[in-house]
Amino acid sequence: MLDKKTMSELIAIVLHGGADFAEVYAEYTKDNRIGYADRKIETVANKIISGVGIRGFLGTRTYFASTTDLTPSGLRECARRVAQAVGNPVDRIADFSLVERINPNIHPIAINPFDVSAGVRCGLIREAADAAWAAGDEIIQVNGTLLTSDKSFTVANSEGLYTSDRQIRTRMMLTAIGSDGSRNEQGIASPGSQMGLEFFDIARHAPKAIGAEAARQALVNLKAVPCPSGQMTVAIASGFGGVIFHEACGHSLEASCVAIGMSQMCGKLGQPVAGSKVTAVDDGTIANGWGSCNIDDEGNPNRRRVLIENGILKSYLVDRLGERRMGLPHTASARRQSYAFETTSRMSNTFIESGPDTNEEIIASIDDGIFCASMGGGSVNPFTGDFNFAAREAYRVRNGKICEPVRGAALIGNGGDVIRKIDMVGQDLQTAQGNCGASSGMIPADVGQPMIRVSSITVGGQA
Amino acid sequence: MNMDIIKNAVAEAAKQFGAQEYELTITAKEDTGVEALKKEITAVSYSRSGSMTVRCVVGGKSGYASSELVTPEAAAEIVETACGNALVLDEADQVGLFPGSDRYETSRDTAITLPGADELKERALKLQELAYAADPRVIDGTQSFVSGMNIVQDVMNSAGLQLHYETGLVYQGLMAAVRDGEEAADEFCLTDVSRKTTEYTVDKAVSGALGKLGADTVPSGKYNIIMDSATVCSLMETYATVFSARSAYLKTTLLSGREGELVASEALTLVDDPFHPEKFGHCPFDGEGVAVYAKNVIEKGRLNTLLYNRMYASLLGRQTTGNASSATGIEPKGLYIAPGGLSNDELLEKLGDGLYLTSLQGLHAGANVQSGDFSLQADGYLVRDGKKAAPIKNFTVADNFYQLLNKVTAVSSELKFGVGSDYGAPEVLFTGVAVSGK
Repeated sequence: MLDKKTMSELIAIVLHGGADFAEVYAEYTKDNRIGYADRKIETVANKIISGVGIRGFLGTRTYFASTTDLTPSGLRECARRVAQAVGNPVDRIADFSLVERINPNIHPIAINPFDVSAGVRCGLIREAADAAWAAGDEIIQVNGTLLTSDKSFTVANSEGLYTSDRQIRTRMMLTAIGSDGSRNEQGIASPGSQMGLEFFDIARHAPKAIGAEAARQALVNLKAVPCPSGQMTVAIASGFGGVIFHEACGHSLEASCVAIGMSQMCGKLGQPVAGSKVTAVDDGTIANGWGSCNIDDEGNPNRRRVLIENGILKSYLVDRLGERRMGLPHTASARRQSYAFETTSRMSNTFIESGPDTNEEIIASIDDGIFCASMGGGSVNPFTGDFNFAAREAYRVRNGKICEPVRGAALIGNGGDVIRKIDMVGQDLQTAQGNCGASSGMIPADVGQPMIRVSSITVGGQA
Repeated sequence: MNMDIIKNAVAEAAKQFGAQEYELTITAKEDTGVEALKKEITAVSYSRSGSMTVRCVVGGKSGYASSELVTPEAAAEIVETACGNALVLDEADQVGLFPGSDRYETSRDTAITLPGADELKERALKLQELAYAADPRVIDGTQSFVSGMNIVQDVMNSAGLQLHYETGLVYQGLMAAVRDGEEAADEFCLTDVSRKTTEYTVDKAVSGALGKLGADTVPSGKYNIIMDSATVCSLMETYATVFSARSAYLKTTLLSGREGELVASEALTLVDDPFHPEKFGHCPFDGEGVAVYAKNVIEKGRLNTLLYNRMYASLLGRQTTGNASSATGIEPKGLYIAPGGLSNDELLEKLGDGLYLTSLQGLHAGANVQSGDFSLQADGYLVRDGKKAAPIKNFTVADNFYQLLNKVTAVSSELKFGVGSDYGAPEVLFTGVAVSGK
C-alpha cells in the first residue's frame, strides 16, 4: 500500500494540472476460486489484483487513469496522464496535508480464509456437493464455486483524507442439475457474507444446507409445469425477492443517472413514488453484510440511507461527482469493483422494511396468481424504468392456496408503476446476496425484503 | 518490465517449488477514452495494466495463480501458490502441456497507435453535435464516448510453446435519449471506428430511439418473429455452452451424444470461424496454444461437431477443435449463423405479419441454460404486410433454445458481428414463438 508521502506527491501532480480536487486509490486484493464439477475439485486458482487509480475533478469534469506499474516512475506517469488530461496547468496549488483517519471495523473476521489450507476449503465445497448428490437419483450433475477474497485499499485526496479499509468476503455458489431423462432443470444456492470461513458455521449456511437447498430447488423445477402468462397478482417471497426493488427502483435512484436527467426518479424528492406500505433502505453499515463497507470507495464512513419512507421519496444515492452535479450532499454511496474503475454511485445492502401484513394474509388474498419463492436476477433501463426479472422457483396460487410449481416465469414492467402496486408488505425481512454490474464494475450487493404482494404485473411464460 | 526477467523468475521458482512443468501467459493492456454529455467533454480516462498467469504441474496435476503485479517477486509468489493449488486436486490432468501446433495461420492483427486525447475528444463531440442536430426530440442525457485499446499477449511453456499475439481497436458509442411530451426512449449504438462512420453511429442510435416512441405492448399469443442480428447474437452467447464438449461430458447439454444427428432446422448452418473478416480479433491460437480453424458446428440442421479443448477431447475420444479458453474451459472463437439468400427487407416480406425483435433483456437471469427454457423481456416492432408498422415493448418472448433451433425458417444475407464480439448473425425468422403482453 502506498504511504502518505507517495500519495501526496501524486495528488500534487494532478493539482498542478489544474484539477480542483485530486484522489488516489491504491488496492491490493487476494482472490481464491475453487471450482467443483463432476464429483471432483476441478480447479484451484488464486489471483492478485493490485494497482492504483488516480482521479482529478475540474468542476463536473472527471479525469482518471489507472496502472499496475507501482514503480515510482510508473505511478508518476499515471498521475501525469491525469494532469495532462485536465490540461489547465497552474504554478501554485492549495496546501494540503494528509492526515490518517482510522475507521472502526464493524465487520469482525474470525477465520481468514487465506489462513486456512486449500485442502480444508476444498472440503467445504465437497461437503455441500455431497449433500446435493444425496438428494435423489434425478440429480445428474453438481457444480459449484467457493470464492474467497481479502481486499485492502487506501484512499487519499486533496482535502487531506488518508484512510484505509480491509474487506474479507466468502461466498459459495452451488448448482444442482436434475433430469427426468428428457429435460434438465437446475437449482441454485449462493449465500455469502463479509465474513471468513466462520460463515459456514451458521446453520442455514452450513455446506450441507447449501447443497440440500440447491438440490431441492432442482427437484421442484423438474416437477414444474410451464408458467402461464398474462397480467397477474404476484406474491414475491422474502430474501432475493428484493431484487424487484433493486431493479425496479434502486438503480433509478443512483446519482449517475439522476444527475444527468436519465432517471424516471428525477425531481421527485418529497413526492409519493411507491405504495404507502413501502419503506426502502440502503444500509452499508450492517455488520458483516455482503454489501457493507466500513467506508465507501471515496473514504467516507458508511451510513444507513432511508430512500423511501411510507411511499415518499426521501433520498438519492449520491457520490462525490453526483454531489457536484446535483448540488446535494453525498450519501457515502461511491463504489468500484477495483482500482481500475472510476467510482460511481451504487447500492450496498438495499431492502424493503417489514410491513403490517402476514405471509398467510398475502397468499390468502390471491385468487389467481403466482407465488415467486425464489428469484433470479434482472435488469433495468433507469431512463425509462422498464425492468425485468426471472423466477428460479415459482408456484401457481389459486383461491388463496399455493398449488403446483411453474417454470420459466419472468416478471416485467415499469419500475415507477410497479412499486406503486406493492400493496401488501409482510414481516419476515431477509436479505440475499448478489453481484451488481454498472459502469464502476461488479460489486457485491445485498437485496432484501419481507414477502410482498404486487397487485398486477406482466408475467411471461410459455403456457 | 523486461519479460525475460519474469520468465527466468518463473522458471527458477518452478524448480524451487517442485513443478515438473509450467506455463506462463503475460498480458499487457492499454486503454484510453473520453466521454461527452451536453456537447461537452465530461470525462477522460487512461489505463495501463499488466497481468501474468502461471499453470504449474505438480504430480501430474495443474494448479493456477495469477497476478496484476508483474514483478519477479510476484512471479515467485504465484508459482508457489499454483504448486500448492495443484496438490489439492482430486485427479491428474488428462493431457499435459501443449508443445505447439505444426503451423498457425498468420494473423494480420497488430497493436495500433492509440488516438490522442484531442482526436478522441473531437470525435466524441461530433457524435454529440450530430445527435442533437438529427432531431429536436434528442435531449440532454444523450451520452457519447470514444475509446481505444491495445492488448498484447505472450504465452510460453516448458514443453516448448512460444506464442505472441497483439491487437488493437478504436470504438465509439452513442446512447441517444429522446423525449416527446411525457414519453421518453433511448437507444445505444456501438461501432468500430475503422468500419463505421460517426454519421452511421448517430443515425442508428437516434433513429432507434425515435422509433421506440409510441410503443405499446402486444396481445399475448403465438407469433412468427424475426430477431435482428444483435438479438440473435445475444441469445447465442447466452446458450453457447450448449455446444461445449465440457457440457456434453457433464451431461448438462441436451446435445450430448447427438453429433451426427439432426438437431435444428435445415435452414440453420452454424459456423465457428476464428478468422472471419467481419469479426474483431483473429488470434491464431486458443487458450492452450492449439492452432484454431474454421468448422461447421451445425450443417443444414445436422450437428457436425461440438466444441472441444484437449482435455474433453481426450475424455470423449475426439480431437480438439481449437476451442480452449483454458486447459479446462471451452469457448467459441467466432460463432455465427451462416447467411441465407434473402435481404433483410425480403425476410420481412416473407414474415408478412408478426413481430420484429430488436432486443431481449435479462438474459443472465431469464434464460435457463440447463433446460433451454427462456422467458425474456423484449422490444421491437409489430410487422404487418411485410413492413414495420408500430413500435412495441413491455412484453415477453418465451420458448426453449433447443426447440428454437428447429423453428428457424429463413435467414437473411446480412451477417453482422458485434463490436469486439465472437458472435455473429444475420436476421433470422422463427415460427410459433410464445409472446405474453396484454
